[in-house]
Amino acid sequence: MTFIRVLGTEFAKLRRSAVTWATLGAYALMGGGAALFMWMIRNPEAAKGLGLIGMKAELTMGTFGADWNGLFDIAVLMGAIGGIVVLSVIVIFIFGREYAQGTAKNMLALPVRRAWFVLAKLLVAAAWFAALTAVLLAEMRMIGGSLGLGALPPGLLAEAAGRLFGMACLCMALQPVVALVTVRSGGYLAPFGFMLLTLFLGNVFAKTGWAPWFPWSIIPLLIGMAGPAENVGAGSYVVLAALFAAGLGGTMAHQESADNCQ
Amino acid sequence: MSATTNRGNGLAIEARCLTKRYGDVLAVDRLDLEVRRGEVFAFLGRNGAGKTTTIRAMLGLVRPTGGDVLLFGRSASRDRRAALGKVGFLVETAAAYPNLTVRENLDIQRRLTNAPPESVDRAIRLLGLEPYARRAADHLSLGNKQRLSLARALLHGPELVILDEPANGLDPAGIIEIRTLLRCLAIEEGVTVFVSSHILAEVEQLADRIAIIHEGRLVEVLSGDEAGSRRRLGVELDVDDPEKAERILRERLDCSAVERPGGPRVRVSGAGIDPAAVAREIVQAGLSLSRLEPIVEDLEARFMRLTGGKA
Repeated sequence: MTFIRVLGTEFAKLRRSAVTWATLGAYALMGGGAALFMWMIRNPEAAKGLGLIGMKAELTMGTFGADWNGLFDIAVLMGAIGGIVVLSVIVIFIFGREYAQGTAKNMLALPVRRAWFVLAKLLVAAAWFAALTAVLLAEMRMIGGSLGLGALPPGLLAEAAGRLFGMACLCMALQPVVALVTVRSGGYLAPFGFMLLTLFLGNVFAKTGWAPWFPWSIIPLLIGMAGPAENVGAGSYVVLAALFAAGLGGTMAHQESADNCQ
Repeated sequence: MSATTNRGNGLAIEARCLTKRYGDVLAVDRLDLEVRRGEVFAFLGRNGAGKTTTIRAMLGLVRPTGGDVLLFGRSASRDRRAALGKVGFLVETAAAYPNLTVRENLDIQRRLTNAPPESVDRAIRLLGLEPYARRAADHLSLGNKQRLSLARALLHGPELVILDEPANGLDPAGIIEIRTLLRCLAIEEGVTVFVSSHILAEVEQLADRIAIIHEGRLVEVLSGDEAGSRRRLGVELDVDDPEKAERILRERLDCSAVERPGGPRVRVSGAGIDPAAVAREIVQAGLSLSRLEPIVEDLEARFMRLTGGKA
């Protein structure tokens, strides 16, 4: 019962929050980007004439088909990038605002189990990101229709939804560690630095044989940005699950026992 | 000390040998403190004296390095949730979710403390926040943010309120209003009020007892009457022969603490010194007394003396 109340208040804290609208705006732009990309694939000559295609883009475009499958492949790519960057921004905001706005002390001195706040905040981030993923999927459905990709093959939307939400779940596994860095540092700066560092390291490790074992390289591998997706095996999922558990446990332990000197 | 043995001892707060160290910095040093139920207790100290760290330890926000704080007999560090159930608080700066209105901020507190729905309106009325109830906290003045924080502290009808600088940002009328409110809560509803402040005059008018903390240590606890009255520390006199006056006072009044700061002045220290007796001895010795004045010390002077400042 207490947890449900805590969860309710965590959702209530998002009311009229500019960050909520900013992330929605970012996802709307992603949809626009996907539409432009698909138009370029379908109309390469027109795109070349407008100067929209460079050498590298031409190579990348070759990996996506000019059909519904290609469009949803682009959606999964964007969902994964969004999952690494936008979801981290959401988590940093949800946890960091309590310190930046000076409300952490008010929250932590309540007669409530502090672990509930950690769980509730992560659930709010997950729900928020799930809503954004649903927005991206709906955008893709509309873009495909408006670009004249023809009839949507039966079952393809459900399959794409499964891939997108599956990717979202994997991205969620990376977030408790971001939350831990946020609460330990008590602000926004350190977790943003951590996010950039992991993005960089994810790219570096992706070029090595350790990519399937380095959590921040696994998602780029899965979307084909860092080598063949076949390299990702059961061990990679265990790594992600372990990182999730360690981050969650660490954040909860920190909130329960560490000094709050905000 | 067993927590259970202290639940019925009439103490709202009990700190025993409370120590908090941050690395090399000793913020609170073996602090012993007792606050009785229903009293208004003020906590005075200079910046960095250890007031806020003590309050944070009371609220379970920092873990003591040694000792403990009990709230209604329950340990704030080991039994935090049970200890804080009846506690309202304001720590240092007023803080609220800036995107939420006054009412929405209070509703979050209401839900987390399981208070009844009508408690939000009651708290808004109590703190005079009716005109701002629908205004986002971000658009409140500093004083009204402080009122919002006080409303949050009082919303669930706590039996103990711990307030760190509650008068911050309030105008003079607001300070009087909050003082009256806190006294009413103590007298009419039996709420224990623990308040830290830098405003000595305010503390004198508000508190039943005043504790002075310096460099992490409790240096004195005064009753409100003691703090409000001007404490006599001795007498100071000007005479034509200060050397002889010193000798006479030492012999006849058994005053050992007599000193001659210079010129015609003689200073006799001691709370029990009777100025009339001093005057009589000086005149009977044939000396000419041109001035005699009691040395008194108010709360401000006492605070400065105890905390190493200049009065």
